[in-house]
Amino acid sequence: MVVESRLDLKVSDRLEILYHLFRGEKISPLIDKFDNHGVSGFQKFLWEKTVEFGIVCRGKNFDRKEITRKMTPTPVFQLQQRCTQSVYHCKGTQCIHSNPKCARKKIKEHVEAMAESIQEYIRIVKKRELF
Amino acid sequence: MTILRIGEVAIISYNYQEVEEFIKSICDRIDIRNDRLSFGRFEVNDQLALYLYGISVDNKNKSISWDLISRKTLGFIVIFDWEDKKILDAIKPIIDYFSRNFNVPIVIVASIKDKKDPPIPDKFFQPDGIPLSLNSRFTFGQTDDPESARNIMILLINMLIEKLS
Repeated sequence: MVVESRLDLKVSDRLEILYHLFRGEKISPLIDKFDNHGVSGFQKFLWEKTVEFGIVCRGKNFDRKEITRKMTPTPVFQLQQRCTQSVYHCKGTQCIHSNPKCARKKIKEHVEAMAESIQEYIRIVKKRELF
Repeated sequence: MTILRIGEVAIISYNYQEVEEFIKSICDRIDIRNDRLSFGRFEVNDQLALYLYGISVDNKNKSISWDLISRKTLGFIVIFDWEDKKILDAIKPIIDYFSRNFNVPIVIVASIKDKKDPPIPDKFFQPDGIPLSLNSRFTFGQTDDPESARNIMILLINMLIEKLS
């Protein structure tokens, strides 16, 4: 189910993300087009699509760790950025307003990890259809 | 006496051919045609008919009064050519206008040449489309293929039913 909030992107922005995604193009550069709320919306939308595609591909064997293990663990990322905030703050949704440069860096990495997962799910289903 | 109920659906594209192909795939023929509008009728039975209004937006010099056209519309089907990014960019403001101003289903169709060879496996978008918002979904389709056009119409009608239930 789609629940709309202030983080939500315009429908055309979502369409644009899918367009690049389904062409196998890198999508993190698109993030630069968005303001801070938009960046959080981008991340949220892509997470939802990644999970949806994961469920279509894996069924009940879907595990969100398949996606998150491609991402740098938050404590490691914080250490790399010399960030002293609590781990809880490093979600990109809060610090995107206080430290947008760092949050955008993290979100770009996450977005690429999610896009990679979606590409993988597409490849798996395509391959399955060949047999 | 039987009363005929009519449901209206707007089909929008930058390419009038796509609009006409789609209407013909559903209605068999175009009843009325002018430079901006194509019209087809699909009679479900003697009590229900769907009127399909195809609107081509390729003439940038003429503005369209969407608020007048859309007053009674059950939903929109917006078609763009998957291979033409310029068309996608051009159609985006229309999609946002519909989604902001009308509380009706919008099916956004990326038109492809061969429904058997979509860019991603159809398991990901058939039969329900890919949700983009509460009222809008994305799908691939072949506008000149009756089965594909029918699936798009069914998706729109299912979205309407979901809204009511």
